[in-house]
Amino acid sequence: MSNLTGRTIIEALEYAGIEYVLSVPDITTSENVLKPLMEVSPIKVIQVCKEDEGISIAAGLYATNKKSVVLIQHTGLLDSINCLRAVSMEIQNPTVLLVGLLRHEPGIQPKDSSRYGIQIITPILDSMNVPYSYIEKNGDEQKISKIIENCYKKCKPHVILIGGEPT
Amino acid sequence: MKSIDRTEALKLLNKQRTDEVVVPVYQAATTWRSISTSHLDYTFTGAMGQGSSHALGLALGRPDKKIIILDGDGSLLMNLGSLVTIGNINPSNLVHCVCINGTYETNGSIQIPNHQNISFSKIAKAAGYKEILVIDDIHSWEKTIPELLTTNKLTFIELHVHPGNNQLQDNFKELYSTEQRNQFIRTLIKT
Repeated sequence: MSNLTGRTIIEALEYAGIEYVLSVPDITTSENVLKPLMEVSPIKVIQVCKEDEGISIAAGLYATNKKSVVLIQHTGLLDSINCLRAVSMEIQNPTVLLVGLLRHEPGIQPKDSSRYGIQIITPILDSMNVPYSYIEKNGDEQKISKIIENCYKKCKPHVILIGGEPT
Repeated sequence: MKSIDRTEALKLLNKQRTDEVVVPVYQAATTWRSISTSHLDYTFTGAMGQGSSHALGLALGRPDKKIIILDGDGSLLMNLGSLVTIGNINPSNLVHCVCINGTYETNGSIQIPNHQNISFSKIAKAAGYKEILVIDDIHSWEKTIPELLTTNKLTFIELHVHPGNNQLQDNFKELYSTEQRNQFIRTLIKT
């Protein structure tokens, strides 16, 4: 199984018309997604101090017709549940979250992880009716631009769980 | 320290406001809604403390528009890191006005921790805000409003208001209405 690549993730974001990435560094994506975004991509990176800030900044940007994604670690997603509930679900904002699963075992679905923090992610999202997708291998990046398009069309959130470190 | 009546302060702001976007939170939002009839009011912040982050998104997306957030001290404590995020970006079109009354007014007017000693203006200055103002009398506020509406510097205001004078019932269903948010977007596009 070949890995995701940071280059194709960034290309998918650019193709989808993303202008801003709002991020707290995530160990899964720091090296090959966040760093290239900060250094070479035309997409602007806004570093936030806490992940829920990203969800709210994205809502403000949406109100001005700008597209963004939030790039964080799964621990930050857990910390942002109330904001996801209120800003994304209740007020209906097109929040796209790219979420790295910290030290996730390859080839295993998140709910079957041996790590408690990862096991609980998809049950929590299911209980909130928040849609999610899992990407892990080369080619999965192709889903990203379509997810973003649907999110903005329907004004709903979508969590993209990243199961392996992109090369 | 002296303090002023928030409703009176917001009425003065509303009188001078033209097409600026105003982002009021919690009690300031409830009061502001009873005063303003503009469709450029963005009250759709959802979760406590998030107003400053929504305002940053608006300021980034519309650098040609003045964005004024009417924050609360209890709210800002919930999202204190946003001062650092905003200070780092330095949006010159953002005015961050914090109504300081030392309490969580929406949640039973319980005092915020360490309210006697905390200085939000010093934190904002250290975080990178360019202009810092501390206002505790109505005449200074009235004289400052034109400056707030025209400044090109990231500005932070500590506006000291009386605690516990809320007379209005919160209506979060209206404040967080998706339909009204969509109306806001349609209005903003035209301006």
